[in-house]
Amino acid sequence: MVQADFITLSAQIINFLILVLLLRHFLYKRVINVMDEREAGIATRLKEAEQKRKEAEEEAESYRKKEQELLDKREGMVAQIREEIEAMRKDLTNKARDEVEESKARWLEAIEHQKDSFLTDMRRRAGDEICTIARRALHDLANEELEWHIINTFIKRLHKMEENEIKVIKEFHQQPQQVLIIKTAFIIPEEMRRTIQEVLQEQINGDIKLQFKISPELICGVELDAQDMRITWNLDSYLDSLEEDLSRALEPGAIKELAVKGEV
Amino acid sequence: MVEITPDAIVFWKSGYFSLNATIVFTWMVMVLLALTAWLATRRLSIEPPLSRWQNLLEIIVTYMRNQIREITMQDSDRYLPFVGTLFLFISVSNLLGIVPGYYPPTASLSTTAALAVCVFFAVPIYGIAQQGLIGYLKHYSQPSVFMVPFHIIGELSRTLSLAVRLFGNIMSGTMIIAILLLVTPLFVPIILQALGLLIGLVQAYIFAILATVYIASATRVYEGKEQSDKEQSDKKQPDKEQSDKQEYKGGI
Repeated sequence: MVQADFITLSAQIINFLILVLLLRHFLYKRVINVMDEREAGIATRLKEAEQKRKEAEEEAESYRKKEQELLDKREGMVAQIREEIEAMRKDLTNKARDEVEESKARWLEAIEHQKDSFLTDMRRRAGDEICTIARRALHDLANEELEWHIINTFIKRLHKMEENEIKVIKEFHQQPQQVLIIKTAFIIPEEMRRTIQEVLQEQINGDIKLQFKISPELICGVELDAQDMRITWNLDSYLDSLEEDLSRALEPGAIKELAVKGEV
Repeated sequence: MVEITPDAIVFWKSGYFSLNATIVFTWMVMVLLALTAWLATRRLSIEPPLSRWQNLLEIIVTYMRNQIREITMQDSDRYLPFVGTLFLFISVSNLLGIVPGYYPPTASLSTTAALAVCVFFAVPIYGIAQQGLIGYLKHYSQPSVFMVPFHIIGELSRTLSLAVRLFGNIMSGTMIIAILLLVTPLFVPIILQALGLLIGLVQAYIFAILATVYIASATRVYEGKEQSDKEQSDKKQPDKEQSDKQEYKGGI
């Protein structure tokens, strides 16, 4: 027969309530506490991790800033160094250029000096050679002394003196103790000396004192020296022309031109 | 002779009190549950690795908490000891039915009625604790004072249905197996016994869920109108659960 026993029912209610208390104490509370603690631990760890992540991000950000600052600083330093290098390069280049210019100037000066020495030497040698050749040639061809021809030529020149030259000689001669000096590179024969004196006296219409001097640098020439005026015949003009030609020929450009023309 | 209820199996009798199989097997289940809980929770560890027993208990407790939270939409820990014990007691009582010589206490109308009475009193206790006496009693007069008798009848009838449903299911299962053992002792009783285990678990679940719904209806539904608007704007899930509760109220 199906019926509910009141005492059993009461006992079961009590049993159930006891079971509730037992399980509450032994099961639910303990398990829930453990789970809550674990949850709290996880939450704490998550919070700590989040905190650490933030700190790491801040640190990373600070390192990024520092890196950027270093990069900026490095770029600044590189730019400064480049400027310094550029300035140094310009300075060194200028110095080198100055040194080169100086060396070039010295070299050109040396060249010029050597050229002058060479030309002076050449002039003297050429004059000597020309005199020798001319003397020999005149001697061989006409059996006359070259000096004689030179003196003759000089006498002809005295004949053709201009008015102002005659005037200068006159004024010079009027001064007391003044002697006209005739320089030659050789000894003039007495006959020739008299002829010269006669020609001059004729030109100035008066007596005149002459002094004959030997001057080797004249090179086959005769020179009348009267204060500021000078009448001369010698190889200087010819040698000057020769010197001019040689100078031109020794110019760097002239050598190139000659090379182009195939003359050298 | 087949006993229809373990109440009839009396081991010891003294005056009006008789120590029948219902009480004895209830004590066994109680001891089993309490002992298992005590042993399993002796060395709980907060950090992994967790023991197998702790894992099992945590899964069961977590599952029950989630179920209660979904239904009540409140803090589940307040109802967990009562509802959880209902579920564990009924399910273990039913599952032990597979042990020969064991009579499930839930096959006794005294036990199911006792559990139903507990639910019957638990509902107003939780309701009053939550709402206060006046707040709780007010819901009897909702939506009209004329509804008071119907509410009372509803309370009583659902308590009766709780008791009879569980008793009927478990008792019938035991009876069917007993009868089949006489008719076809091979194979068929095994299948039906497996089915009985399933039914036992389902009934435990239903009993616990219904108890939760009744408690929830007493503590949450009458919380006030100010929450109703907010709840309607919430997700659809709570609405669905609400309709489920109505379905439960209608009775399974």
